Amino acid sequence: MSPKIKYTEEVLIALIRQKDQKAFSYLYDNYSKALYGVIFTILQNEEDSQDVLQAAFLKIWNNFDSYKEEKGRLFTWMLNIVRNAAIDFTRTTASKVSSRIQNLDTNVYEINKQHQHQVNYDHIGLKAAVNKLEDDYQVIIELAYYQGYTQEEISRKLNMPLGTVKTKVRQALIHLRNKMAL
Amino acid sequence: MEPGDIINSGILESYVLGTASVQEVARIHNMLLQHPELQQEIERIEHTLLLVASKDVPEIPSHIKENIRTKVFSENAGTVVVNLAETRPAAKSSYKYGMAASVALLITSAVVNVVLYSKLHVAEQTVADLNQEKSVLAQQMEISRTSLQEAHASIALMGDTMMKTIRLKGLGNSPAAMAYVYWDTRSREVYVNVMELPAPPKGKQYQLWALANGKPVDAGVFSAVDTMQLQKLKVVVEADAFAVTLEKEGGNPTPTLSAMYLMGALH
Repeated sequence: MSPKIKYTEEVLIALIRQKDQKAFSYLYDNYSKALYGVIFTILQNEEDSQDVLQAAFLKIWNNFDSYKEEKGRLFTWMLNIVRNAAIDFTRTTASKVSSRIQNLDTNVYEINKQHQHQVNYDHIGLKAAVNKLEDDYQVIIELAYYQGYTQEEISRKLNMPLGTVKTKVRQALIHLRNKMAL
Repeated sequence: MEPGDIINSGILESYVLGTASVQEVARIHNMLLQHPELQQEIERIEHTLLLVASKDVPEIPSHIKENIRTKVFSENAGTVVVNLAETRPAAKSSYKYGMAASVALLITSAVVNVVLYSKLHVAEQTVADLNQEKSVLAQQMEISRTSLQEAHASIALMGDTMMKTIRLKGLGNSPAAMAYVYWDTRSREVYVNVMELPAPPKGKQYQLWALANGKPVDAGVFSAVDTMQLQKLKVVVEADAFAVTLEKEGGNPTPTLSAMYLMGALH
């Protein structure tokens, strides 16, 4: 990798709008791993995840005009695209996915958002750090991050007060941050 | 809402996760204007999320990046090559075709020129923008550095035990006015630090006087604008009190007693 320059988000966005090649590299080098991680967590299959990453990244680059700063951060926008691409993929290959389903003793992992086709995800193999979190942290990160549930939806789903959900998301992230800082 | 409450509320997490509502996003953007420190917290959350998702994930094969890069950047270059190749064989057949081909070539080349020129223009603009941004930042840094140095100098001076501090209080003209005079007992230099003083009218300036045995001695004029700064004035050999009057710009040889604003005596 060439010497590490750090673009501010503003500069990076401006360069991507100009289809700058270095900005492409920078974007890929800094975000692809995490985006791939999100996809892989949902799909649990390397080859599929690579395909989805490629398609999603093309979409990010080619449809960059539809990114609007006033709607949120660049990462958030990309996360949405990637998450939707992965979830769409599970939908179109729902039969394949269902063969890999593991039985779980809790029902919190069953995903059936009303507006979504009923999909049974794999028990999302959360990372080692997350596994050590208390169960509700785990579920909350999974729903909020990898499934893109809003806090209201999580609150309804887990029958947990909205305020509690909000602080739990924060606590879970702080917990992870501290763990990874070691 | 205070920045601390916002941070603790968990709303920034849902903002970065993309689950905040349109109204919440707008609210956060508004608050960011008033409390830039929230930006740091947002970046911290994003950084954590990037790490969480990247952890224990299989390596992405390096050809994936190249695949995407090729798909993304090859389109334009491809079009130009094809156009040029198609015009060439036509040129051989006859003068007419040759002419048509030249025209086509000319048009293609003109289009390519325009495209390249506009790209160049965009690139130049970017460089200019970045350079400007850089010089603005450098200036800001220089300003911050200078004011930090000044602050350090002021702190050192105020903490100096050989420095006499005289508090000047407002008089009838402006009861709320206040200033400190620091008088170096070694070098006899006088500094003034304005805390509160009305802005002088145009053409007027405040002047400090040292009073020794009731006789006023000019100690220099100073600005009432920058209240954060210590201003170095003249050397004063003897004084048992200091006073400030409003005088014409540049000062007067004797004080206008009716325009006295501040006064303080040495203990």
